Amino acid sequence: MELFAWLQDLPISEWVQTSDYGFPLLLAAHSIGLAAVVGILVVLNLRVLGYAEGIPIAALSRLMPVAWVGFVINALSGILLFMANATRLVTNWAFLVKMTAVLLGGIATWILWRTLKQRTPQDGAPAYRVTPSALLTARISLGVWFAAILFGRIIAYVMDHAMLHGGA
Amino acid sequence: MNIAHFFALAHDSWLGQIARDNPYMYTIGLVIHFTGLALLMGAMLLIDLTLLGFARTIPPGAALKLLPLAIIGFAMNLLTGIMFFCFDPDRFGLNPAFQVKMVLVLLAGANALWFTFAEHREVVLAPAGVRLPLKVRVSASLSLLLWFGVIVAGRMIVAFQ
Repeated sequence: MELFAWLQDLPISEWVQTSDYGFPLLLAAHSIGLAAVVGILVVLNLRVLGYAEGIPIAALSRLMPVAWVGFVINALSGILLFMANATRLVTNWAFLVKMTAVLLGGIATWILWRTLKQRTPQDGAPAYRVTPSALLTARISLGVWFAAILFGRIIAYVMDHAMLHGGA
Repeated sequence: MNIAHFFALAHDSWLGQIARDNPYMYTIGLVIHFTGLALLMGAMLLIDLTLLGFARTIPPGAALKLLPLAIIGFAMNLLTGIMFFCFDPDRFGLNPAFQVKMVLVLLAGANALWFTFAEHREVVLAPAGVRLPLKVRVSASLSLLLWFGVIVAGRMIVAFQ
């Protein structure tokens, strides 16, 4: 708990807490990152499930850097948002569920690409094939990313509730 | 009908009343609003990046098959957005960030309509990897800038309350 109190008292955390634009700007960055990472992954998962089949899966693998940029934006903005409220967020169940969902979403995406990618032929580009396990992984992935959005929205309500009832 | 009258009508509407009476309505609306954001932006990113030439192996016609996904996302956000507005029209209508957001949504919509009526028919037939006309690439760039601007302006609403 001392670690979280120390994080929360760092000058940058105090700036986020007290400045007029700290929170809104970080939340704007967090929403842009959401659009990139969840947006691209939703399209990927829907494509695996058979929607817009004219889009080659290999082409989507080349759009993964866009999803990664979104992920990095959200990791950085998320760390700052966490630091500004560290002591309260670390016991916020919605926050903990969201973090679990993001972790599972990352694992599901990693498994999905492993499942899609067929053993690379000696020469030539990697081939991709939709297998039954890829379909299952895509469905799980969609659910998990939706859960990340859902519980992300609930974080603020859990915090307000704790404050109203004299919690941390 | 002046603006104050319109705000009062929105406030007293059925949508405004259920949003205020049910404590979970607004939260559920926000979850739908952010899910819609992900659907709209995922589709727009893929479509616009393809039109701009960043994904040379995607035929433009295949990328544009994602338009229904973008429209579903936009519809989710339009409906929940109208509900937020009716919840408290003064809080949103008089907020400069909200006003900027609405202007950006209208510009993004006008850009999308222009593309649909002026360019869509030819662009869907273009083979993958072909450099599309400048006006199409300008429209795709504007689309990305405007939609990301919508997100930023939306998040700035709380800063002006």
